[in-house]
Amino acid sequence: MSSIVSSKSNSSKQGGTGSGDYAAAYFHDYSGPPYTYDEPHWKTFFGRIADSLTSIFAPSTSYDAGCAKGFLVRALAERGVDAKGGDISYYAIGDAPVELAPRLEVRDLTERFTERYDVITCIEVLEHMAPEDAQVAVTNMCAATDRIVLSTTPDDFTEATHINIRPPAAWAQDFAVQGFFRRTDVDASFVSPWAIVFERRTQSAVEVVTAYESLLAPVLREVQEKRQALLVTRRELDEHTAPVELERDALLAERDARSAELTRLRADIAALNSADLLQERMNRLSMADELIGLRAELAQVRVHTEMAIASASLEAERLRQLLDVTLVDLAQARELAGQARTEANLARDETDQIVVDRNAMRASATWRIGSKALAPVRALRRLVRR
Amino acid sequence: MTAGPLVAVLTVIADPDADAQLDRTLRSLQQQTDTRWQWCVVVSPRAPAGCVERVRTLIAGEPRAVAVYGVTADPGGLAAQALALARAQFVGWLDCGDLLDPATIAMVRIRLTSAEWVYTDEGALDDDGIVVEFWAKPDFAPEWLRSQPYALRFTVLPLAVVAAIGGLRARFGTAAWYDLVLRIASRLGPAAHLAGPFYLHCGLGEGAPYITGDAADRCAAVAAALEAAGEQVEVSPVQVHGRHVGQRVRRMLRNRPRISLVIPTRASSSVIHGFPRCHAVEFIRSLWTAERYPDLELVVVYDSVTPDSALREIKDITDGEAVLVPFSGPFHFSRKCNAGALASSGEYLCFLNDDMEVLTADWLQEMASLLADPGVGAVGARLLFADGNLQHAGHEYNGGHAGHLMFRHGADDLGHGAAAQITSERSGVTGACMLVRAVDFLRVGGFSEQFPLSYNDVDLSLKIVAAGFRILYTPHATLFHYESQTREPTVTENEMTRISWRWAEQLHHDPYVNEMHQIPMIKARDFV
Repeated sequence: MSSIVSSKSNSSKQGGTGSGDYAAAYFHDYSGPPYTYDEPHWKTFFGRIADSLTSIFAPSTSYDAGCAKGFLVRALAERGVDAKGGDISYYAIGDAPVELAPRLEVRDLTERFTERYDVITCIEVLEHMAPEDAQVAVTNMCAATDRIVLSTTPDDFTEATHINIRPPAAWAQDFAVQGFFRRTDVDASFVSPWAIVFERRTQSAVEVVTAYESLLAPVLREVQEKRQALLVTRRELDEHTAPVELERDALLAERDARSAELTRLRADIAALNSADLLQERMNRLSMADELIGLRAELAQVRVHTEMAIASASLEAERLRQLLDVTLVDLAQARELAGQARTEANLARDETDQIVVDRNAMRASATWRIGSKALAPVRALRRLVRR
Repeated sequence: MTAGPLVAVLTVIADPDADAQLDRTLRSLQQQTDTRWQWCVVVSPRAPAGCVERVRTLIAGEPRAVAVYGVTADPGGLAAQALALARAQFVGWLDCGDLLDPATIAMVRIRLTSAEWVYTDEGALDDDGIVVEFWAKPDFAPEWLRSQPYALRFTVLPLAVVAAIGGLRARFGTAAWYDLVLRIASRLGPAAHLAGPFYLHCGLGEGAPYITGDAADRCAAVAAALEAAGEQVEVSPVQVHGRHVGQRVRRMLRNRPRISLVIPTRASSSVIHGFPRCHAVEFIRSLWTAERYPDLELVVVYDSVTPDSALREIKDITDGEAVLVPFSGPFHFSRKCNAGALASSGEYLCFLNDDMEVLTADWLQEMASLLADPGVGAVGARLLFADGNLQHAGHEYNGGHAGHLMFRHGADDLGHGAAAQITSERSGVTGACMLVRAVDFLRVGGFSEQFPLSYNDVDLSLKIVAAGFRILYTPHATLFHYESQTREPTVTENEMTRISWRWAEQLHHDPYVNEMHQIPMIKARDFV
């Protein structure tokens, strides 16, 4: 059961934030994993903080000022610390599990604490309070303990509820006024990069200076060296990247130039194509036609030649036959001629014989007598014939 | 020489007064110079009573003839019965009352020494026995045979092959012989053509083509032949003035290849039907209708003299889709068409003149369906003058000259066996309307530039034929061709010489011009 300490109505404060600002919506929109008890991330996160706190300070009692849902309180309690916590949000405190309730309370930090604790943690709280309220909270916390673990963001201006962001020096001043000084020997980064452990000390100016100087010097030295190293690295990088970048720029420029040229050439080709290409294709067509035409002409010549050869051989055959016939005729004519000669010879022989016979007859006495007797008749015949 | 009859002649008697005619048929067979024939006669049961007796008496003295009484009245069944009687090497059909020239069997025998099957021409005798009509048929042409039963008489088929393919199919009735011839054609290839009127009809009729039998049977036979080849077709009879002249085969287009219409033009005008018209624009308007062929491209090859207004109008009509190709230089038909072809993206190219008008709405679908056959290289259409006479029904090459078949005859003229009325083969078609495949056109070198004005389409046609294709003509695609007068239709001497150098043989021996009409090729040598 939670107990309500403050009855002040926070919403009436000028420029401040109240419980209503940290209700369900706030935790719903809280960055990171869901801000619930089951979420292992927060359990680990706050567990580690609790581990460090217990190992460094070994407190018996503790108070988490602005504990939200009490995660740190639970973590510390689990580690054997009599941990308590308080938050301005009714919602947050009400959302805690039943067994944790006795340790938690709704508290406005502008109210004075009633007890003292070994350590008070105030993590990411003061930036949510109006400046004058934060001052009061610091005073109240310093009155309730000798050791405060403070973490308040120096630069997260974007969150709407961060209404009091101040540089760490400012907070340190406030604590110094209360007699609390930074524990330079404790590294509080287990809480956050800007966390500081403030402890009540009576420190002389010399002791403060010593503490800060011993912290400062190495840091300055480190920064100095790191700056140098960074510069060197940067120069080396520039040395290496500069030519590469130059090359890249040159290549890009070349690519752009080529691209432009390609576009120009394409346009040229398109213009040329319609003229030259067409002419080429017409020529090719013409060549194909000529080839086919020549083949056709050749075929005509071949046909004619074949026909000429065929008719020539027919003619030759005809002449050969004619020759054969002529030869036969010639043979026949020769034979006839031979026969004629034989007959002519026979006729001559006959005639010769007749002449011989006639001469013989003329030589005979009968002929001589008869021819003389008929002489006057022959003369008369000759006269008549004329 | 084999003994026994060479040809079994089949005759079916169905006609009531057939026996009078039978006498002269028998006499024509007995007068054959080659006596080795057989005559198989079947008498239909529908023939008048006593016909069989009269037939038997007539045939009694003729040992080579046999006659039987038909068992069925159906003409197909009777024909099959006649075939069953055949005992010869070959078989042919002779209608009762028709005659065969005395030299027929002898001439056929000679021809069959170098061919597997043969068909002859037909003629008609007048009362004095003089041949007065002559059906001058072309050499074997497959599409012609599908469009018309032209190679049926006197056709002699090898009996062994006939038996192997299942003989006559009775279900085709009066067209059973037609069906058989179609199947033989697809099995054996082209037949030899014996020119001359060896098969004779008696008495003057309507002239060639002599087509008998039932049109539905014929269409069924043709459809069956095409379906056997895997084509889906619709066959309907073709009639001209009530007279049957053949069939029309409508092929279903399986795919729709893109067609580019290539129109070389000057966009000039002339006076047609009494009014001045800009042909090209009018023609394109009639081409580019909403019902046009789906994938159509229009390529217009225009001159420098073409007015801009015409070009704008053309672009307007085609919604800017027309491809306009500028052409410069003197008039050169071949170059213009080639330029248009090279600018086209179509799978088919259709060359058109600009002075034409479409008459049959589905002209392009009809032509494209014919070009789907890979054996066909080009398709032409029927073109008419403004007065309705034929401007083009295919080319005819004879005596070394190229002419238009039946030029200026009537559009419905039935000359040449009604060749102009049926889808049939030609040796060439006009470039005024020619559909070709783009790849084939380019492969043969397009229109030859050696023929700038004339003969370029003759040359292209012959190139396509030389490449192994057939060229078809179809009357079912008809257009007007006004033959504009702005260009002088002259043929230069150069072109005549060149066409002769390339194609002298083909221009003298056109296979679709009957041998008996061919002007013989005169060679210089013969004059010596």
